[in-house]
Amino acid sequence: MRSLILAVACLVGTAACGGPEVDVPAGNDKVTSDPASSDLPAPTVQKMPGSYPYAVLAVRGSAPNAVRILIEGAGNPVVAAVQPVDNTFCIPVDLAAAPARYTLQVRSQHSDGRLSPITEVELDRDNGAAAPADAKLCDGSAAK
Amino acid sequence: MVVLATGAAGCAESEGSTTDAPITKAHVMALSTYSATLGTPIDAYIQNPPTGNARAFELVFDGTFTRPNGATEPVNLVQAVNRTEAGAVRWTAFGPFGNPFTPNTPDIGKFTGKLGIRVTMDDGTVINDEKPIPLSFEVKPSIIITELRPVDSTCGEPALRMLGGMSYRLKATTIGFDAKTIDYMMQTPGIVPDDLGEPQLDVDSGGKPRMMTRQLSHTMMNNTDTVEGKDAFVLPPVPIDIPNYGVVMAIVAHDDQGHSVSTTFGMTAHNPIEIFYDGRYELAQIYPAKPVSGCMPGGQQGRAVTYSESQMESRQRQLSVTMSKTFLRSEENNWSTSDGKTVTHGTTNTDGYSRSHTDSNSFTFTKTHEDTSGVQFMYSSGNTVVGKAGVSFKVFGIGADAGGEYQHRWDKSQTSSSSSSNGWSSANTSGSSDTSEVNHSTATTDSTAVSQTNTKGGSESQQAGEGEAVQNMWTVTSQQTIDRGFAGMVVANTQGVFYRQMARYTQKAFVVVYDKCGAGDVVGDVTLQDYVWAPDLALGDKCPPLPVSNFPEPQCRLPPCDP
Repeated sequence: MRSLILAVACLVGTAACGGPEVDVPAGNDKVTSDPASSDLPAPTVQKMPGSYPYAVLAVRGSAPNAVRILIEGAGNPVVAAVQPVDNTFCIPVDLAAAPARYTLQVRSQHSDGRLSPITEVELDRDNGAAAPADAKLCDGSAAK
Repeated sequence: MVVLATGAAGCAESEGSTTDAPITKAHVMALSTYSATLGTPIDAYIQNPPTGNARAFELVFDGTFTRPNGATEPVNLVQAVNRTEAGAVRWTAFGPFGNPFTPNTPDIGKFTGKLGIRVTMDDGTVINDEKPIPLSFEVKPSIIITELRPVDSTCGEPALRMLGGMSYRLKATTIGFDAKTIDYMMQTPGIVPDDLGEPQLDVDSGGKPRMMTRQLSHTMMNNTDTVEGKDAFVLPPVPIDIPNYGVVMAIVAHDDQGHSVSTTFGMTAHNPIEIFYDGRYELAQIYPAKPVSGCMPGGQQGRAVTYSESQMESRQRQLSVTMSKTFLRSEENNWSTSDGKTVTHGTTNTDGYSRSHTDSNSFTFTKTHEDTSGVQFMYSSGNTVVGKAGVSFKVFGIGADAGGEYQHRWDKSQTSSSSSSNGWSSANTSGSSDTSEVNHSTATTDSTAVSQTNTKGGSESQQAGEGEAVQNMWTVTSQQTIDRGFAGMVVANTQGVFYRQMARYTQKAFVVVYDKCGAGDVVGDVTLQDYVWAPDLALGDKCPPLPVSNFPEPQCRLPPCDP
């Protein structure tokens, strides 16, 4: 009985005061911004040559909502931070053995520890392959 | 053509591969680097990170270390690490005091083997990595600090923490590097004496701390150098109002070819005794709710009612200090309290406590003040002794006189420490005359408890310099807690009654003492009992009987339980 009375009282109180109102710009019916996405899609990797002559490869791409990028498939697994401003990354990967075919597994990690799906990249390390034009490492130096 | 799928280059097996069976437990995926000089922090990134109630993380290395001359030795290393975020832990003990892969005879070289992570949950459950990853890790030419200790100590290993006011000897050696010279830089916050001569942080007019840097260069002999004697690093004392300060050491060794190796590490300088408090509150007791109004009818239309704290309730906060008997018996201590204090030992109640003991270490530092060149804190040579280290018990941020200075001296002679002049002691000197020191050296029963209750509660504590404001801080009232307006609606045809309920919160800090080598030991605790109140409007169909309040039932969760 008491609960019912309280509920009725609350309803009356709300009606008397009226609900909150927010003025929004014309054409915008949202009163709050969209919540930040917490999805962690597979990283996007920039196109790489199918055959590569040098011992170190700079893997570039973007990884939305991730704090770091991880690459396995070429010796020790390597890690680099994802730029928080634009979600891009650049990570040097040692391709020590040649000739060899590498399958690099690229995935990102959210700050809460979640891992993204894997993006796979395949390439051949071949000392005799044509040198890619303007190939640079992550520090801006020329790949060699 | 070689086809490398995953795993280490040249490995046919692909352990740790993401194409294997799903990994369901915490698992190391990668390190931040695989080639580092000693002293470099190493991050490890983990898959399936455990929940926040994981108590400890350890990296487990299992493999072989190969020296430059080809000699190998097995490695079974379990290294504690700290969690830095959900999916990352940090290994901060990779140097600079040794090579963890070869602790006995440090050398450069390469570890080859597997790395996994071990997680210990707070219930003691241990989770091991299901699939340690294969890796290689190179230890590059480095500087190792083989000694870092107070000049008059005999620590077997480099100090884990430093002590403010002490003078430190440092010994550095290089591995994998033929060094000719070595440069040292030690940076600490600037410390200057205040009006009373006590150390305080040196800040500029904008409140920004001024740093103090000491630089030193030596010629290395056989890749080894020692900083000692007049070159020893002297740390300024730790100001009484901060728990510790940071010390940054940067060391660079150079060869005659223009190459260099360096190490930079930070340590903390502490007082020999300090209070550790992490800011935690615990709900200790909920008291019975008290009706503080009569029956208030809602009438035919209902009625808005406002709580007014006209009959306030007051309580005294209680601060108690408990020190372990072991500590009190093993060192010379001086403990003094002020008004309202009791010292409990079995059935003995006295005012004040002191203990002397002859079997103690030599611990000595002093400070001198030279206006011409700022402030220098000088190490006092000789067997003894101007050793003094105080710590304030103003840990919970309540009034200066809640503090007390606890002196811990390491003197060779059995001299009695004088009472401190801050905090409780200062209250004693002007507020009451019942302070006396009692030697408990023969007391052997249970742990000795020194407690102070109802601090500042008495009206007689009108000592100079400790004004009303401080006194008020010790007396808490319901009016302070329920100062904001609290209103409710007595629904039509019901009856309302205001209740008030008191709760007790406990704040607990720990007294930690460090030996000269920086090893810490918890020797006591400091507990504050604080009180808060909350109002409630209870409604019922009729009154009397009094409507039942919405407050939780009285309960005591942490002693001491009041009725």
